[in-house]
Parts: sequence; structure tokens; C-alpha cells
Amino acid sequence: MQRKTIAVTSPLPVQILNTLDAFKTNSNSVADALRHFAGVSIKDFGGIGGLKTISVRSLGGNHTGILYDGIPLGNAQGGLIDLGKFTLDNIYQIELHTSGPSEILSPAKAFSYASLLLLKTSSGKDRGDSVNAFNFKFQTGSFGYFSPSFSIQKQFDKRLRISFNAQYQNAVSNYPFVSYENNASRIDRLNSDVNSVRMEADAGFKANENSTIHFKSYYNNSQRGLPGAIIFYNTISNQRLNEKEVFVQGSWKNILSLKSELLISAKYQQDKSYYLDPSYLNNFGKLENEFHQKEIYLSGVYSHTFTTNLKFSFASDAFKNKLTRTDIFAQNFATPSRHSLLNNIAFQFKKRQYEFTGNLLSSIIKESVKVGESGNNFHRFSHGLAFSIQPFKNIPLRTRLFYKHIFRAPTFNDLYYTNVGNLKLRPEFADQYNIGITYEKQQLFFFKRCWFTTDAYYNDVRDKILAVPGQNLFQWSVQNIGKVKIKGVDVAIHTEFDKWKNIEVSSDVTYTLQEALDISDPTSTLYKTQLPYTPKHSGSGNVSISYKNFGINYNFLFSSYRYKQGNQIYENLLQPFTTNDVSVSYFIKANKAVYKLIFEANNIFYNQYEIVKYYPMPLSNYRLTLNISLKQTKIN
Amino acid sequence: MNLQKISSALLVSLIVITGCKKVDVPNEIQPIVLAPAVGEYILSEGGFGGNNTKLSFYTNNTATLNGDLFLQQNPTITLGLGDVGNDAIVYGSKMYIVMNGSGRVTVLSAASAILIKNISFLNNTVNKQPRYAVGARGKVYVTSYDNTVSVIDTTSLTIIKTIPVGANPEGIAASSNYLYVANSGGFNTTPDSTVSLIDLNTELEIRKIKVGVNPYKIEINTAGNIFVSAYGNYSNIPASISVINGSTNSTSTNLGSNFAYTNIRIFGDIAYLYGGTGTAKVYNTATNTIVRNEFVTDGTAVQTPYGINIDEQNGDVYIADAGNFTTAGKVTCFTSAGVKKFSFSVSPGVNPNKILFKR
Repeated sequence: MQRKTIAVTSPLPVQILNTLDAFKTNSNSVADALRHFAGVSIKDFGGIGGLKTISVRSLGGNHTGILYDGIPLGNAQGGLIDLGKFTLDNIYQIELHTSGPSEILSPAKAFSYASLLLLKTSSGKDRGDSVNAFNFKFQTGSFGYFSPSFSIQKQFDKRLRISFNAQYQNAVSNYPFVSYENNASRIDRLNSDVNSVRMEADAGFKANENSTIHFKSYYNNSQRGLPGAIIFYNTISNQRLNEKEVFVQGSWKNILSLKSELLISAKYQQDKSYYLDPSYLNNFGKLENEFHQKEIYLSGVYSHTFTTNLKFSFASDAFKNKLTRTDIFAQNFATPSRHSLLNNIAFQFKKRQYEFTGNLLSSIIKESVKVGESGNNFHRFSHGLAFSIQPFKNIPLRTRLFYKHIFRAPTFNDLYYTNVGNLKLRPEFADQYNIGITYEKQQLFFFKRCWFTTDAYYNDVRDKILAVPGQNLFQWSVQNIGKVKIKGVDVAIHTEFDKWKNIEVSSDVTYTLQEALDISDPTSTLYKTQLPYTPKHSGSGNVSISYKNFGINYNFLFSSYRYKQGNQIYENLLQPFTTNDVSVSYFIKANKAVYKLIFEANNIFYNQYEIVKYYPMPLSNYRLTLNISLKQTKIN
Repeated sequence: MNLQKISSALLVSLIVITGCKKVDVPNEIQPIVLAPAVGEYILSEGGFGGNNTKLSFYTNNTATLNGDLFLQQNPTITLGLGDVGNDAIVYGSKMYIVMNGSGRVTVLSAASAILIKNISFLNNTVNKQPRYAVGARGKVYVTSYDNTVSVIDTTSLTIIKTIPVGANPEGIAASSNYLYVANSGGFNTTPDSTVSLIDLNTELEIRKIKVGVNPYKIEINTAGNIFVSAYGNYSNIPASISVINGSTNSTSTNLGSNFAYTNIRIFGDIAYLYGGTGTAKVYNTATNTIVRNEFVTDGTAVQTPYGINIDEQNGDVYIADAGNFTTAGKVTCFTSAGVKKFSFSVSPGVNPNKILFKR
């Protein structure tokens, strides 16, 4: 894993994974890769099509924002973005910035989360080299998985580059799992099929040395079965989910002078999701939910360097989100719209041995609806401060501290979900405190490079938005009633050994210790119990060895026991698990082409485990990848 | 995704009698001399998709709970009862547990809780979603969300007939000649508001009687009048109680806005109305007077009354408390005057909805 120096020097904890070598972590999607990050838990409902959402440091998925090639992905409806749908086909780097962006020339929205996930695509990469390239990839594997993809890039002259990438994925995906009944026989998980097409077209234009424009269009269409929880004695499963996401976005970065820079971005996003329960027992004989989301997003950031050490930025983002529902069951749907105006000022003071950064964010949110009443408008300030210092000039040891106060707005579902939503909801607040130590050394003993980061943190969540049932289970309501206290430690260690007789070895280890206690209600039996689905101990390890054209990798993940919602009794227990994955690769270079063959074996010890109760994860499974890439370097 | 209907409660007259005849039917003519209860069976439905329905047993004289009686008595059935045990009745020598999520009715020996048979309610790609059961004339009648009442023969333990009724039926009650079925229509965009009147001789629906919106539970008092609780539409139409005159079976009267309760249990002429404000309202159905607006008189707290049953031998009132719906449930026994006698946790049972007495 090529984790970069920024992980060590930044005052904010940053984890970076270069996914050009994604097979090293036996990952097929962004969600798979993120399992190897410290402090991250991925809620995975299993299988290729199963929903996979992120929670960083137990704050919940709504507190993590995602920037796709620098521009935020919107989801005002539910707030959670399925990270399983981002395959690693076109993503070259995944970065997780705890607190906020480490680069202050960032949109205001990037500062509005408790943590920020950056997905950077190959086609969006601002490469200095001028190349024409063609890449073809074919993947096949267990559960009837097959996926062809290709990308093509054409450099027209020094200024214009156009690329196109497309991937098709298909999986029958009815994977076997070990029967809950006798712990021996195998049963197939039904209704797990996936079928998806993704296309991305990019254009990069470099008007001159100081001005670059990047334009991207994105299309993703998927159909999948929703297998649901395993219900004892009843294997009927036939619910479907079809999703379509389309967006176009553009950004213009302009270096105005040696001291000032301007970054302007815009986006239009349109999503559709269609849910079908074909055996719903109503008079239509089915239940349908068809939602349409639209987002228009505009952002401008200006940065100015006052002295060589001090830089300020001012960012202003305005965006509009709208949710409509068009199915026959959409009676009196509120059809909410939200206008957001975020303004952010940030500073960065950087010297060789220390760095000090901070920001102040103003968020104005206005709600309106077509039917009924709307949720509360509000205006809030939030802020963050971070500091890092290298106490001794000659010892590459740094200490870092940060504090951040942030909130997440109620989602449209929280506010307007039929009979459940609550218009009186307030934002959910999170305060984060972090202290960390980082150490990096090149050429130490027989190490080519090694680094170590550890952070201890304390998070306070109040007014947590939770859905709670009322007098009966028909009548739920969403309320600001949760309070959570989170204490944790993240550790990451990276080592690369000196090359020895063409053998290169590197390894990564992460460990996360977390105590996330529910302190909502002192009279409840749940008071001071660990949050659902939060292991106390979790971690990952990776060893990669390469010899000439061969590569071999070993990965493991582990998690201690967890409980699902409710009392910490056996019925709610999820057993600890480990998974062990290996992969081997071989490549040949011939003329301008590189042929690469990768074989991955996942969960090789056949461990049956669950991340979500009664959503069994796949047993041993395999994937074979053939990659052909052609590159032509033009020297104009 | 969508809110599933997963609630539960109580049932109509159950008569607990031992002895299995050729047809498994209680002798309804002889006057019943009841022995004191040895203990109580508690059915806890668990969470939706949680596969954690529990049948527990509380022994009165030792004050001990067997939290998972079903597993203890049926150790080879490691998966237990399954998902969402919505209702349980004892009829004749057997106990019938209605498993909504697992789509079946599990029949146990009422004396030992040993499994006799599972009756499937899965129909190709559809779980009929069985809801509530009542015994009458030697048969057990089970409502299912697929707009039917299934007739179970109590000796062969097979479904011998299916009676079409209104939309998404819930509660069911039996008088000597009729079945009353609450058609909730809860899965439709507009809820139903009728009760199906079924002739026990022909096992066919005679007509539908208009009641409150989204009817849920049905109970019959000693005079033979039928009381129906209804959910309303969860927004502008509140919960309600309707009364059908048992001699005409044609129309109903609504008790009015002071009776916004979703759930009802009648013992003799006394109705316990719950699923609204407070623990329960006590209402005399013979004199049409409110006995007490709050059943509990000693300040004992009940967070979420989720099932009420009355020990016919001494009149004690047992209230099952679902709490916050995720933690272990609780049962509290009160005197009929609303004074607490004892209480116990039903752990690992979650969402207890039914209390049945064993003598």
C-alpha cells in the first residue's frame, strides 16, 4: 500500500491508499478497500450487491462526506452513500481525512463533515505527462461474477485530453452460507443478483500553465435483488432495487498570481431509485417507491498567501437539493427542497517544524415543501482547529492535535418520511478531540522506509437523530434523543524493506480500539452500553512481496464481538471474526503493452461471519483479473 | 425501507381445559371450576427480522422464569420458534403460535410445550403473513394479511379451508354462531374500516360491518356485544373503539374521542383499553361507564403496554411491557384494583405480547 508522507506530516489524521495496486488488499470496491483503514467500520450487508456504508470513529455514516474528483457527492434523502457501488476500476486513490480536508483550497462543503473521503479517478487525474492510453480489463469469479471494463484516453495536443471509461458488472451472486440450523450444511443466499453499467467521460483542458479546466460526466445504472435478512423457515425473497445516477461536473483552477489561487466548481446531479416489493399484500399486489433526487451545486474558493508561511482561503458554496416521489403510493408526499449556503474561511500557517490550521464555517439551510409543512430553517457556525509540531529538528517525530465542532443536518427521510419524519428535528452535533503521534524514517536498519501513526480521540455526539417506535411498532418517530461518548485509539504502521535480490517486501498493520457508549438515557438498560455493531477491537494487516514480475499478497481483517441493537445478550451477539485473503499476480511487458494477470482468493479459511445480524457474508470466494494496458507517450 | 406491520396483542375468549377428545375441542357447556394458575406462558415476538421469538414460562410459586421454554423442551430445534410470533392461543390440549415472519403456525402441546407440528403459511413466493388465531367449534381460525382466514382442523392439523375476508385482517373473535374479523387494510393507501361477519355454520362471510378506520382487535363481552379497537390513519384520524350490537350484527357505534386506544382486552364485562394514553383505561361495557381512566393505582410504571390478560381464576391483571422495543420485555401482575403484586423480566424475550395461564 503506498501510503504517502502526508499521513505523517498533516495535523489532521489522513490515510491514503493508492488503488492502482488495489488487488494487494483483495478489494473490488471502495468499501472493501476502506476496511483496511484505521478507525473505519464498514456496515456490509453481504455479497456484491449488498449495501456497504461507512462509519468513521463511530460517528455514523451521515458524518462522512465524499468528494468525487474534488466535488461533493450529494444525498440529501438518506445521507448514506453505498460505497459498494464504487468499483476500483477507475479510482486510483482513496483518501480519508479525519476532521476535514488537509488542503485549504477546498469547497466549503468539504469542511462540513466530521470526516472526508476523497475518491480520485484515473481519468480525473491531473497528470503532467501527455499520453494516449488504452486499458482493457476482464474480471470473473465466484457467484457468477463477470465484469469487463475498458478505458481510453486521447491526448489531442498539449492542452486537451479526453478519456472514457466504462464497466459492466454482472453477478448471479446467490452465494452459499453455512446454515444457521446445523452449522454444517450450506444454503444459497437467494435474490442477490447484481447487474450494473457505469460510464465516465472526462475532458481536461489546460488553457495555460496557470489555468486548468476539468469536466466530468458520470452515469451509473444498477439493478439488484435485495436479499434481506435471513428469516428462519421462510426463504422467500424477491424485493428489487434499481438505481440510476447521472451527474456532470466541472472545475476550473486558476493560479491568479504567485500568491492567489481560485477554484470554481459546479455540478448537476440527478438520481433515481426504484424499489419494488412484488408480493406486498395490498390491493395492487405490490409496493413501489420511486424517488428522484436533484442537486445543483456551485462552489468558489479563493486562497491568498500573505507571507510564505501563512495562507488564507475563503470558500462559498451554494446548492439546492430536491426530492420528488412519483410512484402510485406517493400520497401527499412533501416534495421537499433544501437551499444551502455554506461559507468557510480557513487558514494554514506552516513552518518546517510545525503547522497550524483552522476554519470557521457558516451554514445556512432553508427548507421548503410542496405539500404540508417544512422542517426548520437554521443558521449555524462550526469550526475546527489543528496543530502539529515536530519538537526536535533531527528526530522525525511529530505530535498533532485537533478539535472540531460540526453537525449534520436532518436528512429528507428524517424530516418527511411518511408518518415517521419529524419536522421539528434539529441538527445532530459532533465534537471531536484528537491527539496523535507520527514518526517516519527512511533508511532505518534494513527498512527502506517505515512510518507509524497513532491517534487517541474522544468524540461527543449529542442530539443524535434516531428513529424510535411510539406506543406500537406501526408508529415510529425520528427524534433528537441520542447521546454518545466515544473514546478510541487508531494505530497504523507501515514498513518497506530494502530490496534484496529483486525481492521487495512491504507491510501494513492497523489497529482500532473503540469504546462508544450510549449515554442517551440514564434510566435505560442500554445506558453506557457499547453502540450496536461497534467492535471494541478491530484491525487489518497486509504483507506484499514482489519478485521481478511476480507479486504475492496476504491480507487479514479481524473484529472482536459486537452486539446488534438492544441488550447485550446472546441473542444479539455477533461473534468475532477474522478473514484471510491472498492474491498472486504476474505481469509481462511486451512493446508498449503490459499484460497483468491477478488471482485473488478471499476468506481462504472458510470462515462464516456476519457484519450485520442475519446477513451472512460470503465464504471462500475467488476472482481472476486480466488487465491489458497500452500506453503511448507522446513527446510533442 | 417500508414499515412492516409487526405488532400484536391479545385474543378473544380462550378456555383452558385439559383432555384431548376425538376432536380437540373444549367442552363449552360444563361450568368451569378453575384451579389457580401454576404459571404463565409468555410469548415475546422479538424484533422484525430478528428470528428471536421466545416462549417463556414463569412459575408462580418459585417466582422463576424459564426464558426459552421452547428450546428447553425442543432441544433439537436449534433455530427456535423463528421470526415474529404475533399471537398464541391455547385451544383444547394444544397451543397454537402464529409466526408472522416465518410464515407458519407452530402447534405445541399446551401441557409440555413440545412441538407437535408446523403448519406452513408460505404460498409459493408469498408469505401469507398469519396474524391472529381463535378457536371455535373444534377448529382454529387464523387471519392472514393476504385477505383470508385459514381454517385449521385440530386433529389433522392441516388447513382444510380458506375463507376470503376484507383487506389485511388482524384480530378475530368467535361468538357461538359467528366469527368477527377486523379488516385493517393497513397495507393499502386508504385503510379499511370494516369487520367481516362470518357464519360459523357455512364458514362464509355474511356481510361487512362498518367500524372505525383501520380496525385491529376484537373482543366480546358477556352480553355478546362486539368491541373493536382501531388504529386510525396515524395522522388526522385518531385511534377509536367501536361497538357492534351482537344481536343485530349490522351497525356499530363509536365510543368517541375519549376512547382513542388501539388495543383492547375484555374480561367479563370489564374492558381494558390500552395503546393510547396511560397504562390502560378500565371501562365497564355493561353499564357503559368508565371505571378508572388509569388502571394502575399505586404508581407502578409501565412504559409500553403491549399485551394484557386476566387470570380468570382470581381476576389478576397481567400486563406485558415492551419498553423501548429493543431491550428485554417485562411482565407485571396487578390486582384488579391496579396494585402491583409482582413483576418479572422475560429476558431474552423482546416485545412480549401474550400471556397465557397454565393450571
